[in-house]
Amino acid sequence: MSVLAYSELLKKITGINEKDLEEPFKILSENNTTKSRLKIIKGLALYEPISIGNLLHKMGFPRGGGSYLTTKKYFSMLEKDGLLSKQKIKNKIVWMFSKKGEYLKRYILS
Amino acid sequence: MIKNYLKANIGPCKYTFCLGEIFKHKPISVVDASKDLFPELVELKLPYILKPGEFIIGRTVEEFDTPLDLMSIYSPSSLSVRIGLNIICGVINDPGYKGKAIFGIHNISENKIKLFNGMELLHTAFLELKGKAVPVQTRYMGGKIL
Repeated sequence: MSVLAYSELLKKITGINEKDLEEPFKILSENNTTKSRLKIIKGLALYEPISIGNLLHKMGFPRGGGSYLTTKKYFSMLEKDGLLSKQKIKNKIVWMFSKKGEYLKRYILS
Repeated sequence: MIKNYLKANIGPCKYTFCLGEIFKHKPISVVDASKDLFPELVELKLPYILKPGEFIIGRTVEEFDTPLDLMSIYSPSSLSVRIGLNIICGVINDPGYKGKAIFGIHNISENKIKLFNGMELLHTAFLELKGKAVPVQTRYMGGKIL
């Protein structure tokens, strides 16, 4: 008889395996993830698929030039590492989590 | 395993429950379990000020769906000890139990204590079982109080 510790509780309660989170968190830490950027990532998990402008607006950030360009650059870096993906719908580019980022999304939403 | 859970409430080797509902017994002349003579229950609204010596029954927000290879043991949170609440619980959650956790809250301090929604008064630790368990059969399945 043994007592379940954090990783096993997390797996049984939320269905998330801690090993599955290692890669997404490694990617986040390698791409200058700040507190504000993490807030944006949390927002993306909630509202995906969504354009950067709409996401910034929903999360209460200014949606103008600087913020937009920084977020676009950050998302592009995460896309390059396979955590996010983008899709063109009509004239808008919307962002979402890729298959590799699915566990991170589930962890954020749980 | 647990529905309506909060990820933040998963601890190093325990899960901390949130208080969701509270009930109080209506006074009757005698409680006789052998004759199914139980007091009626009145639901109280949270937040609630618990007077010294007062006893009420709490029900958690979370709901168990305990798998057959696990059981869990309840324990009062250290917060309850520190503020003077005696948490009375059934100690063992059997494999196969589905429903919310029920526990008694007794104010053993000399002060009034405010109970609020989401208050963390009860922990549970899960233990893996050896061998095959038979699912529990109980009249309290589903988190019934009486």
